[in-house]
Amino acid sequence: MMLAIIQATPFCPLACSYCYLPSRDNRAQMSEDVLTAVLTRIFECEELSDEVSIVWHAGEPLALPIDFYERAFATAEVINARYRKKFHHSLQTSAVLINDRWARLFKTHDVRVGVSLDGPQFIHDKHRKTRAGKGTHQHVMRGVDHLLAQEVPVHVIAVLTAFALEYPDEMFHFFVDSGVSRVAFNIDEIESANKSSSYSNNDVVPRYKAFIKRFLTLLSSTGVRLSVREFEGVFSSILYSGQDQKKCFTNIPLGNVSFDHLGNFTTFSPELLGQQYPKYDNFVMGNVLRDSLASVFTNETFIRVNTEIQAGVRMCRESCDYWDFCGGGHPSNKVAEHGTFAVTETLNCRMTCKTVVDTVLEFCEEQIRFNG
Amino acid sequence: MDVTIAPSTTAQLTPKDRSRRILAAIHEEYETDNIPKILLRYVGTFPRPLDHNHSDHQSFSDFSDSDE
Repeated sequence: MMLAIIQATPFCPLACSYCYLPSRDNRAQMSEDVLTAVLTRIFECEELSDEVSIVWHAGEPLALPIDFYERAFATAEVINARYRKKFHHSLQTSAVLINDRWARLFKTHDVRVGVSLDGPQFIHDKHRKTRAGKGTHQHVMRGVDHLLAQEVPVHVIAVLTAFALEYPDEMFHFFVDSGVSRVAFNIDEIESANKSSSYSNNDVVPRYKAFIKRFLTLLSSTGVRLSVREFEGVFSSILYSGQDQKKCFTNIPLGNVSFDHLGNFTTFSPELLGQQYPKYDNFVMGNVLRDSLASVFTNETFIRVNTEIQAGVRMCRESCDYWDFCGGGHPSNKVAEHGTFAVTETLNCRMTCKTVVDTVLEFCEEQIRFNG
Repeated sequence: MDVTIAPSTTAQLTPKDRSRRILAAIHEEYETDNIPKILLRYVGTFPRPLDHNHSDHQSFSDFSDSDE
């Protein structure tokens, strides 16, 4: 399945302390012409797989009026009638703007909703704030309630800062009690507009490991059906080890494609689009108003970026013991930390890949009671 | 279940080796209660757990860190 990530507006009404988006003050929005061209380029592209996930992202996607999405969903159906691809809509939101009408729209169109929620209020409100500096937890939970009332499954992306590592029990019980179906843990990374991370100090590694181990222990011992992205990734690698190594879709050309509100597009990590990197032409590899997606393969910026990315992937494959669990790492982390894609280890891979893999393997080994 | 390997080798095994050793134990003990329950629960979510190409699947929360 291929991801088409549409940033229909760069604007976000919030001011989270670790936000990487450089243009979140910009209230511009995608025009009808650009939207139609984006959807046409997605469905017409034979190089993309036959199943497409259209991800509405940004910015805060719900900063746009609800009728923008009503029209967008209808337009997608009309255009795809000619191409007959399987597709669905997803959306990543802070949830502060979700009301009953939004929730009904998601239910009607079977939209998969990801909510940005860092855990209980005392953790979440430490970083996820309004522009006036107030916590957003109460507003987010009201949005979550609207989703659950419409039986829309709530998938969460939680940014795990060093502060939150002290509270695995509180995090676990909060997500379970809140009716969340799936959690994905990100860390606050050095990326684009976010120039620092609470993980920069080495003493955070054992604390991160302790958090992961405790969360996994709680999940295992309670039998709760909460899906956790990090654990599923390692379980999957264990169960299919020897058959196929894991792919990292952010370092594969057209593994995903991101579009901004002007119709500019890029492939590889979605975070690259909108960043100011003159060295890489700000990662713009085409515009839907004149270029097909397949044209990236002859685009000079793409060729330069792809050459570097694949060099970095090769270095990972040749030097890293965790290659089979990772597939070469995320280009956006590499360039943000090292200024080039032709490198291997990043803070993100040290934590969210290597440390997680070590912890889950250790947990399984303890359960199986290997000798030695 | 106790799977005996030479002492001190665990520390020398690569993550891939450790992963394969766990998988071997699962194959060996699939019908018993001796494999990690949480892994068994995960196995149960796939119709053909050991014959499934996991690499061709991604969801929107799978890409990096595009949330913060």
